[in-house]
Order: sequence, then structure tokens, then C-alpha cells
Amino acid sequence: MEEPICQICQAKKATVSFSCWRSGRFLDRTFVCLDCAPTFERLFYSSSGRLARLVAAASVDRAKAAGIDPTSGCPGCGLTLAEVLTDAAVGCEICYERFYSDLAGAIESIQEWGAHVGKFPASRGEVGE
Amino acid sequence: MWRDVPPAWTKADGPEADIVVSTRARLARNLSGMPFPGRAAAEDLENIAEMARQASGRLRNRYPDLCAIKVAEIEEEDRTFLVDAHLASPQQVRPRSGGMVFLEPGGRIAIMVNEEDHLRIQAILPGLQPIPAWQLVDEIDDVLSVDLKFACSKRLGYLTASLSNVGTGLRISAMMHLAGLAMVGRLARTLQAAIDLGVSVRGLFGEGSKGLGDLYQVSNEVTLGVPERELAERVKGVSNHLLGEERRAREEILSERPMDLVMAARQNLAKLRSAETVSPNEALKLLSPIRFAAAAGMVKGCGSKDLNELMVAMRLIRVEEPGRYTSIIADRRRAVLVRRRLRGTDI
Repeated sequence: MEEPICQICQAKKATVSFSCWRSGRFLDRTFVCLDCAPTFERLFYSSSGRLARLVAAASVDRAKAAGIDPTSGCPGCGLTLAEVLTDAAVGCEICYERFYSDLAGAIESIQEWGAHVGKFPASRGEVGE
Repeated sequence: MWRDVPPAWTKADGPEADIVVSTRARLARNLSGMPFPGRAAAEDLENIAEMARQASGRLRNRYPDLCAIKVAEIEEEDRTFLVDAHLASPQQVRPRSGGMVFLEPGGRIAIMVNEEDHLRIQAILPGLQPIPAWQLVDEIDDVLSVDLKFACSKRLGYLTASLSNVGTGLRISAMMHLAGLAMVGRLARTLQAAIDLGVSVRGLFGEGSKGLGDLYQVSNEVTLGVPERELAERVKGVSNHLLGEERRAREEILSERPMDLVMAARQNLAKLRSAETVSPNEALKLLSPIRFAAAAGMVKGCGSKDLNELMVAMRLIRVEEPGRYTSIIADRRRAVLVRRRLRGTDI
């Protein structure tokens, strides 16, 4: 079988393949050389979600070290800090208040840090902290 | 009927439509006092859908054709159409409590109810139009805000289910056909430069889907700490940069080795015409040089608009998990559809 050529630089021999699956269905495979592999991985597979999960693991460890129970739930939806950080997703607006100090690191890793500077709802007077 | 109207973004009549297929703006919003869809009970989801339905009444004064679609009540074929036409996500069209889409026939406006967030307000326009697309969703948001109280905090702005959407809740993306850059081998370098400018680049169907058919979505990386207009300007600026690079690559090919393009397009056309079955992946790959050649005026009987419509009609994503048998049937149907659409096409 003919050895594949890197689909990125189209010059060197491809020695790594990346497979893409969506909803359990194979979509695509890309063959790349070792030199192009890091660029390709950064372009198409690294995501804020993955970064957040790394931060999440560190945050849960920090919470434990500080004597905070990461399994205590949000009074609004029951989601725990560990679940919130692992999925980089919250269950309700109260999660943001309950876990704010722990979420700040994850939000910072995902977003260009800074307070919200855009639009607020018309009923801004009712907006919480 | 909404399902009989091809999406307006396929018309290829927007700015830079030979390279930028469409621009989408999406706002994520949640109702205050209700758990987000991922943690909500069926009864909550139904209540949220009802509140959205009532609030949509005011929207109809401005967009009278807006229709309400309960996803649990539509056929599989219609669900797949909504996904292929980028009017709803695969997650959104799964039958479940409170799942709704408010849709303007032609797909310029779509509001998903109870997706990852309570509301996903979306506008898709043909070509490169980040500012008009943002203005359209912003206007809809203003109207809905009259009747609905959205979850929001002074520090973090609009509160969303995913931490990656908090703040403005705004995601703007341009779908670009970068076949020229791929042909000259400068795609990875150019996309990396775009990412360094503060955008994310994904394939046609989101994260990890690479550039099927050389189609890429360029969107804002962050949603917090940057005002809405600036996010739209950022996507516009980077898209214009990519557009310039793509034009340069296309000019190189057309002036230095036009026969490479002609041969690739002809070979692919022949393959598509003779194929008994064709997978979504293969179809998009084979159509890419044909689309490029069509934009360069080398194709008779088929233009960018026809190819965009074909992309929607091909049923690229199956919403239900396909078995092998179903997949073969779908691949056969797709091959027949492609053959019919490309009948009379000449390069």
C-alpha cells in the first residue's frame, strides 16, 4: 500500500492520523506528518472545553485542599461544583452565585478575562451581582 | 410551508458569496428563575416553551411569517432538513419535552427553544454580513426582552449553561470555502494566523470536523469582556483577511495552473455522475473543486447557488443514529440526487 503524504504540508510522509467522529459516526480521517501534527491538533482538536477540564481538575483539588466539599450541591438545581467544573457547564443561574469563586478560574481560562461590557436586558435594575 | 422554502443563505447573493457561503449570528439566553435545560424537568421545559410561545406573539408583529415548530411532532426527514440547513442543531431536533423552533420560512431567523440554553436566537444571511446578522438577533432579543426576564448578572452579563458563552452570549461565524488555500498548501499556516488574531476555526459541523469540502467556520473565540459590535467587527476583520488570502491563492492557481483546477473539477464531476453511492464526506470533498471552478466562471449549467442548495438537500447529517443498512440507502439516494442536480453541468 502506498504510504500517505501529509495532508497539511503535502510534502513529508504522514505517520500520524487524526480521526473525526460525530454522534457515533465516522466523518473523516486526516493523515499528517510528525512536524505538522502539533499544528493540526491545535487548529482542530484543542478547544476551550478541554482547557476548562484541565482547569477544573486543578480547581477541584484546590477546593478539597481548602476544606471545601466539591460534592455539595447548588441550592437551585442540585449540581455539584465537581460536576460544574468537569463539564464547564452550569445547571442554573444560582450556580453562578454559589460557585462563583471556584468558577472564576475556569471562566478566565475560556474567556478573554474582564467584566461584561456589552448589552444588558431592558430590566437591568433587576440584574443580580 | 417552511419545509418547502430553500434557506435564503443558499442563494449566494450576499457580499463575497463566491467564497463566504453564509454568516450566522447566535445569541444564547436563559429565563431567570428556571433551571437551564440540562437540569430542567419535563414540566419546566414545557413551561419554558409556553413562555417563549407567548413572547413570540410580539415578534410576529415584526416578522409575520414566523412559525412555531414542535420538534416532537415533525418527521425525521424534516428534522434532518433543519440540521442540514443549519437552522437547528442535532441536539435541538431530538424529540423531547418543550423542544421547539420558531422559524421564518427561508431560515433567515430561527429561535431554538430548550437547546443547551432556554433560547438560542439565530440569524443566517448569505455571504459575509457579520454586522447585519448581529443587528438582526439583537433586534429580536430586544423584542423578546419586553416579555421575558433573562438571567443576567452585573459582572458576567447574560448567564448561559456553558461557561464558554457567558457574557454577551453572542457567537458570530462565517462559513468560508477555502479551496484555493488548500490547493496551494497554505491553509494550515493561514488558519493559524487567523487563530492568533482571536477567532476560532472549525469545520462545517463544528469542533473536530476539520474542513470537509474545504469549508471552515470562522467565529469569535470569546463572549465575555468584549462588546457585541466589537465581536462582530473582529469576525469581519479576520474573515476579510482570510478572504484576501483565499483570493490570492485562487488567482495564483488560475494564472499559473488553471488546468489543474479544470482537471480536478472534471474528474470529480465524472465520479459524482457515475457513483452508485456517495457518503456525505465524499460528496463534499468531490464538490469542492467544482464549486471553486464555478466561482471562477468555468462551469456551465451549475453555479454557487445550485451547489449551496445541493449541500442542504444532500442530507449530510442523519439525526437518528444510522444502522449500516440505513446508511447505504441514504448514500444511494444522495448519489441519485447529486446526479440529477449535476445533469447538464459542463466544465
